[in-house]
Amino acid sequence: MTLIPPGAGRRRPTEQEMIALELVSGLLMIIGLVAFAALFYAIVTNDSIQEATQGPEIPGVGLDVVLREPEDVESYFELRPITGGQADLTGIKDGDRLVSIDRVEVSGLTLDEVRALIREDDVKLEDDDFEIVFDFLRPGADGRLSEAERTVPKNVAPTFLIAYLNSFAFVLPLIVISLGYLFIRLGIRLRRYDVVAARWSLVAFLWLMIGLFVAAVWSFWVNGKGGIIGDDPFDYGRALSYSVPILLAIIPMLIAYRWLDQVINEVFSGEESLTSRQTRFAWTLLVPTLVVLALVAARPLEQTFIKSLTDDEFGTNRPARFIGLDNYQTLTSFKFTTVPCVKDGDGECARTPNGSIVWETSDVEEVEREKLRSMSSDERRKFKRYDVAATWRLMGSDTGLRLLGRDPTFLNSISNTLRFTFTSVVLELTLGLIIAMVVNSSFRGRGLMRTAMLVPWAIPTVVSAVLWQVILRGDQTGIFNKLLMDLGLIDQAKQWFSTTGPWMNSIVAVDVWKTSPFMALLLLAGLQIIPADLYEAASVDGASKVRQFFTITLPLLRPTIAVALIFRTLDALRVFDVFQVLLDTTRPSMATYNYNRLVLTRSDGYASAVGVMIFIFILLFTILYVRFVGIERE
Amino acid sequence: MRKQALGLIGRVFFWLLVLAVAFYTIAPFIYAFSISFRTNSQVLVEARYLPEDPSLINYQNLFEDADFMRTMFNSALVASVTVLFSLVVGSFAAYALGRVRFKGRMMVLYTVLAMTMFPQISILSGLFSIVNDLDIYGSTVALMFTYPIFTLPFTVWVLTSFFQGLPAEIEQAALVDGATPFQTFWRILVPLTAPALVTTGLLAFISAWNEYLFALTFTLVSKTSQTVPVAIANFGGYGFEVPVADRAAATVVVTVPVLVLVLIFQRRIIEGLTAGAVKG
Repeated sequence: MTLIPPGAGRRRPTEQEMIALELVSGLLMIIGLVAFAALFYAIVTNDSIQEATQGPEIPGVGLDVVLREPEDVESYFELRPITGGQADLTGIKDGDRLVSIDRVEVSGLTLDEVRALIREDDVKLEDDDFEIVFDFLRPGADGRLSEAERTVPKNVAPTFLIAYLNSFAFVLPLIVISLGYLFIRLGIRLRRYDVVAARWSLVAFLWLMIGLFVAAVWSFWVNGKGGIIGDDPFDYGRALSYSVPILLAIIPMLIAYRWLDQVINEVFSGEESLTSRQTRFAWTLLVPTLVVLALVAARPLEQTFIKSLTDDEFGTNRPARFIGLDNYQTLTSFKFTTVPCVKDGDGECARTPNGSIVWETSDVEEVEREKLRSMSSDERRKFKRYDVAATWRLMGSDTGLRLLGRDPTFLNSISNTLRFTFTSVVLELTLGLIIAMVVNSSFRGRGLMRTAMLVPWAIPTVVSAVLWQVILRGDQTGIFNKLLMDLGLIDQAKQWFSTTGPWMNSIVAVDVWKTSPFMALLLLAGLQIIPADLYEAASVDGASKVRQFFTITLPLLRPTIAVALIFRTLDALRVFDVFQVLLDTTRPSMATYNYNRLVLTRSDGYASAVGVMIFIFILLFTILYVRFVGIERE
Repeated sequence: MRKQALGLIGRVFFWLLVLAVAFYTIAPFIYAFSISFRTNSQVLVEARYLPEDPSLINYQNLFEDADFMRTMFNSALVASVTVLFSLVVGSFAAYALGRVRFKGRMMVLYTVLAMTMFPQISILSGLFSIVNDLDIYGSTVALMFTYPIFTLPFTVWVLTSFFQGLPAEIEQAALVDGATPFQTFWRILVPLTAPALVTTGLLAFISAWNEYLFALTFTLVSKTSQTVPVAIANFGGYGFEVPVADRAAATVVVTVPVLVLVLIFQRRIIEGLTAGAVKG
């Protein structure tokens, strides 16, 4: 036992207290070491890392189940990778295949037993709904399945780097290591009977206990519920077996906490400044927020960055590969060129049935097609050729300016988003200002008016989109069309959302309807701060209402307008709901394009790159705004 | 005399403007209301301002649809849990950020602000992997896990400015009386900011209720976990035609609780919304 110099505390510690202190500081150091050990253990036992270092355990597939009538079987879990382990036969319906059954699960079974397994699961297949196709499991002489000669090449294992980055990367290990280090340091300092160390130890124990309790509850639920969509009964035994040990771990900490709390003012010595005390208090309060932000924001962001440098895809067994900035290159490549239009018999530009001009093919496109012809089929699959994004007619001539890109849909999504943002923000600001000024004057029923104004803001954007979808139906059964026809403004029903109709205007109109009242409310608050005397004085001086508006209202409203402008612009750049509900995938916004890439084509890596581009975009806008519109922050 | 005439015209014009604004805001709902009393086949044949033969069939179908009722419950559950969590955790953080001077305060504050402007779509792929690994894909828990990414920074930001606005003497008085910082926080400051908590909670509740991106990504796959926006967007109706009337009825049903909320808490909501904008 180390000899501890008696501190300048109120009294000397007793024998027992010295022993207790050894135990408590030991506990702290053990916790720190456990953190390091747990991290190491998690890395070493991680499945993909094991694969990376030892090679994949099970290459290829044993059996395939092929559906006779694929349409009759509902596809579900479209996005969920097949889980191995138990004979979990519910999985992806991929074309006409139901599932690929792993070698390990069914070797040794007879074909009848396998059929029984398939019939048994949730999909409810009968014997004649499917047929089993052998890959390299075959029934032997005894009727049992065993491995035939392997003709399938081994799957490629992920590299160690990819496996590590996918599962751990930097944020989480950094946090665990820092915490481990902190705990060890605390344990050491505690032995010097330092009162500051003691107080920090209390905080550390407190949050650790709370964290363990939350982990126990979480573990109880996750381990008891079994499969996600499954209707398995709650497995209490399993849930308890995972969560009780965690709860037990809390006990020593509770004891340590209570003991420390009792003796802290007696046995520990040292001075602590008010600042130090306050700092500790502040950080104590911030712990849960920081944990949440680390888990739900920092880690996903990091993961998205990392994935964007790979060609990862969902639902394949192929491991991801590093492709560096390839995704970004595809997204940001663009070229401009000019093309003449195709002339019709009268020497005018020919037009398609819906009225758009027919353009010639450009040289760039020819070059790209040549390149494709000279490639092998493997190279062809990987090659991203330049394709047309948009063509605009140059004023007063028969030539068009053509924009091409390696990902023309992405370029179009940028253009759509920018057009949407600009138009909707300008309209909403103007309309909002008008509405605000109308509501600003006191009149009876003003309260009711403000309630009415809140409603469009309060309903989900999706609901307003669906609502307007009903109103703006593109045939004569749409009430808006009927209204316009009754008023004599149009002859025929207009298709408001079709690709050839005024879809951008319609989308903007929906958003303007939803958001202008909200803008009006914001501006109203700003208006109400302006003292009425200013207006009175100006009237006395003979200034007209219009002049008053420009010299008094606008300048004083500037800070409110600036804030409303920033938040509204950032919201508009992120637009998702209206584009997703009202338009198809050929007319995306940046956010819906990201979503489509992730969910429809399942290109995890590529979608991540799109996400990072959006992030950079928004960041640039924010910086520009803060510079030019200049909001003051303390 | 002329002035009186001008004044009268001005007033009439003003009232017309007021009515126009009110109509602009409410008209779509009135129409949805009217169309919800017609059958879908009637709607698909002819556009009318008023129902020709009002019937409650759409509402009947809706209320008998257990799935749809369940989505309302899911939305309420997810929003409540998220808001409760954000208020508790957020008020802790807001107290620290709003009333304690400590090293690193500005950095944390700026980080929180940055989070409110964060594009959620950008981390969708990362979140998707995490939700998958945690085995909560397809359940409402996935939403309870991911919603704090926007409710928490918002709550912290708004509550911080409220805490800052409280007079400094409170802590000093409590300190003199021998209260620990935590006691000051829990017994004195929290009750004082109760109105702010209600307002912030309301605004966070509405934004969680309306959220579509995460809900679509994580619950589309499971009918029993879907929330209101997802269900409405994918509403298939009960027949084989395009379910226009059913959608209208669903819209009405879904808007009613929101209307109630807004009616009761109208002033609080406006206070909360504008506090952010005006103070900047």
